[in-house]
Amino acid sequence: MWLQTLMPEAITDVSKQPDPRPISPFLIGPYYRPQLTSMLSIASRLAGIFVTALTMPVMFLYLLALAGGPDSHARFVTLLGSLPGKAFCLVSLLCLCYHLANGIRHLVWDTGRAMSLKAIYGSGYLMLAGTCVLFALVSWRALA
Amino acid sequence: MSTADHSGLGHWKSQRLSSLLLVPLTLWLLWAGVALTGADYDSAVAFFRQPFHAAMALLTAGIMVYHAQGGIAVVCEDYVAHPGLQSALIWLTRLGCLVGFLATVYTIYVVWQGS
Repeated sequence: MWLQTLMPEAITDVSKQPDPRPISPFLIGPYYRPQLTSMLSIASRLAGIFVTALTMPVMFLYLLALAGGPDSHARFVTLLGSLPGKAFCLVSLLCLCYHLANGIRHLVWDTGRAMSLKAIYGSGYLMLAGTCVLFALVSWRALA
Repeated sequence: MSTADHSGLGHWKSQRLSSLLLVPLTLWLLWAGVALTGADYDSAVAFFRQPFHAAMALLTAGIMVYHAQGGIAVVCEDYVAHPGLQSALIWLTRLGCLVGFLATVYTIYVVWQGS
């Protein structure tokens, strides 16, 4: 199982634990019901990982292709303009918009504000709406 | 009581500071992405020859790379229990980030060389 591979000491069988209560909502499946709060949080990490592992390398390769001259630039732009290239750009833009919107939410929390459960759900929906608006604003050219 | 062998406050502060700086920088990045979509070589070079965009590219690459390696380190510490694999992933990310930033510096240098 993937979990044992990643975390050999993790006890996944609840009955084998001395106290069955988990210390944090790490294991969303067996212990915690998926909720908006936990889903938005894990999605923010996934977006950050996607940008670091894939978007940033492609951006840096684009810059190197530009430094390489008109031919390498043209080849790279053709690659980005292909259907998989466009799909990749759209996912990258979505991850950037989402991570930015949720990051602003985190910065507000860091000042101690909007920490009630009601405010956390409210800002979650507001952040999702903000992500959609920002994504719509920046993705139209990649779609064309 | 502290069980960590070092203070985490420095990391916490540096991630907040880089997050704060990245709010306007990410907006610039998205804008640059829109502006450069479908741009030919000459327009792309002209874009990065503008001092404002050259400075923003360097600043964004630098802060973004710093923020990214810090974020990936936290994710690895949380989910990768094997100590060797954990530090290998963290250092691989750091290396990639450094190479990426140097690539940005190199490109801006090359683009400005021709002007």
